[in-house]
Amino acid sequence: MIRYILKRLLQFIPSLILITFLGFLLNDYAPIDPAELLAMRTREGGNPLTAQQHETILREQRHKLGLDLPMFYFSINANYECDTLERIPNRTERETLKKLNEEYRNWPAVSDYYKEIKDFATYIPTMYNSMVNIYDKIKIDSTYQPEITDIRPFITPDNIDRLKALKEKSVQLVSLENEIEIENLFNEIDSLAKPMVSPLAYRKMTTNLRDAFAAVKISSPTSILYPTFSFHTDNRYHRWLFGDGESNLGVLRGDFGTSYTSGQKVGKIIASHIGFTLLFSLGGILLAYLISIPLGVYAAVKKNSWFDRVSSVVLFLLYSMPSFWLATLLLVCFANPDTLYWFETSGLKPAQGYPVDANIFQKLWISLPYIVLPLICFTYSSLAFLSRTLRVSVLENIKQDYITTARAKGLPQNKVVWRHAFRNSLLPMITVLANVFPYAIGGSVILETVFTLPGMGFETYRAILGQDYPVIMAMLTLTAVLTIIGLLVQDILYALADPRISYNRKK
Amino acid sequence: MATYQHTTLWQRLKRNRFAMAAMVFLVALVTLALLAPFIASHKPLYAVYKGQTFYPAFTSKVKYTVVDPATKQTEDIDIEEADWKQMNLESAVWPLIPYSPGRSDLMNANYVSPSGDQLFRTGDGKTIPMPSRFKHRLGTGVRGDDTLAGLIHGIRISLSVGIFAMLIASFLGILLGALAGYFGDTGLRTSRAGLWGMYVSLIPAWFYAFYIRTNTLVDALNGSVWGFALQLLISLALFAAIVALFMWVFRFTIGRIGFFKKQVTVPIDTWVMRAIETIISIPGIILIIAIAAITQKLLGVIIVVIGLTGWTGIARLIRAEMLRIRELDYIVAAQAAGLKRVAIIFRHALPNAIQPALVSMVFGVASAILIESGLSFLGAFQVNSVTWGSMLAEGRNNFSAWWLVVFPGLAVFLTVTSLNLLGEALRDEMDVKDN
Repeated sequence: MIRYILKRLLQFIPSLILITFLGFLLNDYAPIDPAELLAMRTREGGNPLTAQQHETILREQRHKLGLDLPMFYFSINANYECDTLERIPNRTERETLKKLNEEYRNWPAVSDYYKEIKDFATYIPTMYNSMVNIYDKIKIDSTYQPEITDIRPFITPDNIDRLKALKEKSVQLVSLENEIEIENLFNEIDSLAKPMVSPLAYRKMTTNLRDAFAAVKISSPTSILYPTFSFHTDNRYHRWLFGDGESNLGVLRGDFGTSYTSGQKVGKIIASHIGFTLLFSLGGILLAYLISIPLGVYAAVKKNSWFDRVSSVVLFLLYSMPSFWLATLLLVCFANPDTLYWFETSGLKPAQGYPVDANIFQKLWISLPYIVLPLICFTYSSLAFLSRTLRVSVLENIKQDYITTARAKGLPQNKVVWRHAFRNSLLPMITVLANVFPYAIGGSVILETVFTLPGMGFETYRAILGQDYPVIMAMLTLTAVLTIIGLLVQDILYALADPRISYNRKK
Repeated sequence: MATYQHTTLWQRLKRNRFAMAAMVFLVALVTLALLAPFIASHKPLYAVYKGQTFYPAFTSKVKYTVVDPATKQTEDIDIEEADWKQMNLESAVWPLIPYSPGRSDLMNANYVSPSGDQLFRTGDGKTIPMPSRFKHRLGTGVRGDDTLAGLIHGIRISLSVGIFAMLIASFLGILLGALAGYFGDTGLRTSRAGLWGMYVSLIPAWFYAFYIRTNTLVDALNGSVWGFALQLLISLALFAAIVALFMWVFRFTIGRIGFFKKQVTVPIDTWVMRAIETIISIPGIILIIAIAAITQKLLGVIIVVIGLTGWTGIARLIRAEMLRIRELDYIVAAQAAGLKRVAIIFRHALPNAIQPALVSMVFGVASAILIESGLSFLGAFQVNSVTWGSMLAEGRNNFSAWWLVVFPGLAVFLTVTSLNLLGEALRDEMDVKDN
């Protein structure tokens, strides 16, 4: 048995790696770059930053999160791709360059072009700022002479407007990957720059850009495509597993990292929320077993009685009932000031909290109006499923010869049903038990959101909406591990419930 | 002797009243879904305006130019955007429900109940009580959008998610289950060179079939379903071709050396079972919500993800059936007669194994619909159109609009119930056992 369990655990390792890898993939394709999200959040309310400052912050954030590292121990790329792309802090730029490179397959030329457009995008705003600066001084003191004197005739309101337009155009370049759009933008820039008679090198700037882009276009592309491998000892997955040697200890030592949104440790978040989820999921499942066992067995024993028929229909309807509909209906009927206001709509306790000296039972009593409806919703679907399964399986067993034998030897009905028929009908019930753990998290997302319960499901939903990937990764991993434990427990219980099942090798 | 069954499955099903009722309901749903644009639309089926005849609900033309016979003035009519109810139509035939889903009716905005006072603005700009022909039979939502029209069009989303997701899942489940069950771990043998060739081929096959085609596939996904299906098929074919090429090359090069010439078994059953274990350890709902958040809530992606995670049940059933069937005499006879393995599996064995999977497919459609409506209830995924879940969510936010709670929920409930009834009836008739 122990050998079998160990073997199964080993077999689960590739699955776990696959699932966590999937989580990393999700993280990589997030609609907003996590670094940008964090940079946005940390900056809220501050002064607007220049492009350079923003870039520096992004770079720091990416370094802190390890996003400038490769994802996994090895990576497979196309031969024309380059692995320095990850170091570009800005996501739009990264994607533009990637697409340009995919189209023209010439990384050196693309990266030269990138340098040119970055130069352009820093040059124009600097120029604009200094021009505005000088212009403001001239407005105050018309005799003011700038240090570079021949710039003086250039500073007119018209030109400053043009420069402003140019400034906007200059930042657009990094997000364009279509040849026609790029050429159009070049032309627009030229037509804006042309009327500005200036000693400064605009013309040269666009010429440089055009040359660089022409180099991208004409350069002979790599014609043969083949995959290239590269191996990385320091990567994000490794850090996630073993920690970064600083604040994060790594998943293997139970540290899931820090939440992007709240800055708390993910472990703490889980610890403070998992209780509610377990309360409802396990409480619901326990109630379901307590009710369904007598219900299912009684219905099977009294087959075709009115009790059996009514309970069958009701259970079937409950079984098909969407949980979010039942939840909403219950709320509308019983937690609605217009109809019956017996229960509360959301949360777990009154807004003002519990009285200071309340003990656990008083707290429970106060929370009762909040608990009843969710508990019903967490219970009914497993209840319906369990009772129906149990009924069918008891019915099947009751037909068997050994039941007839048991009856024939004069055992009382009670013993026949509970000791013989019921015990042999347990296998399907065990299958359900194995699904309890994963259901605890996956299934509670909808119900906890409807009732706004502060559990793990609601927290996960919020994490997904807020792109809080450390939390999502933790949930994915936890659910996978719990499913694996559930499957193992199921195997073990099978063997306990039915001695014929054995996991020892027969050879 | 076993008793010979004279009745077909269909004949036996026909005797089950509940199953027949469910079937009628489902057929009606499909019909409604197909005809939805002509049953619930803000455009009349037939209209005469200033002497000119239109068939707005049937036309794909965008603009019409009408010349007023009296004043000779021309007027452009945008078929989609025109407010047909407020035009002075000389005569018109309206669809059964003269509203489109999600289109606002400002006269009846802010949740008007089915029995409440509804208003109507005529062509001359007068406001009158709602004529019974234009009544919102099941009330309105916050922008005055018609609930019934939303329900009718919601069928399309729900059914297409259910059916297409299950098609993907069935294809995968039947194929993998059949291979795993028929060959087991020992049934498929190849030379070591071939097996190694296959292992080696996986990376280049993935690279050429998917990696460098990523942009093509993503662009296709943003376009039409069929375009994406075509691109996906091309990728899959490319993948298979590369794997086959590698196996062939390996067999004819290093396959001549003694060590690699040796025949080894391909543990196909183990692979499939490991894949099933991996997939059931993934929390489906979390994965789908996360992917929906990434892909900007594309319906096609949701369908594909539900399909890719939903095949495990079918695969297990088919595998179990195949394990039984492969021992039967007629399969042994077919093998002895030297039939090709592909023919034995797909022509002789699979048709007998597929019935139990049918039950699983029907239940699968129901659960896909539940997932879809649950997700759109959460707002985790929204297509441009109104869905049952999104309407129910509107009701959740405003308890006084009971019609938005009752009717969309009822629609989901009835659909799921009839699918479950049908599935149960099929299971009883075919005597399929779970697990």
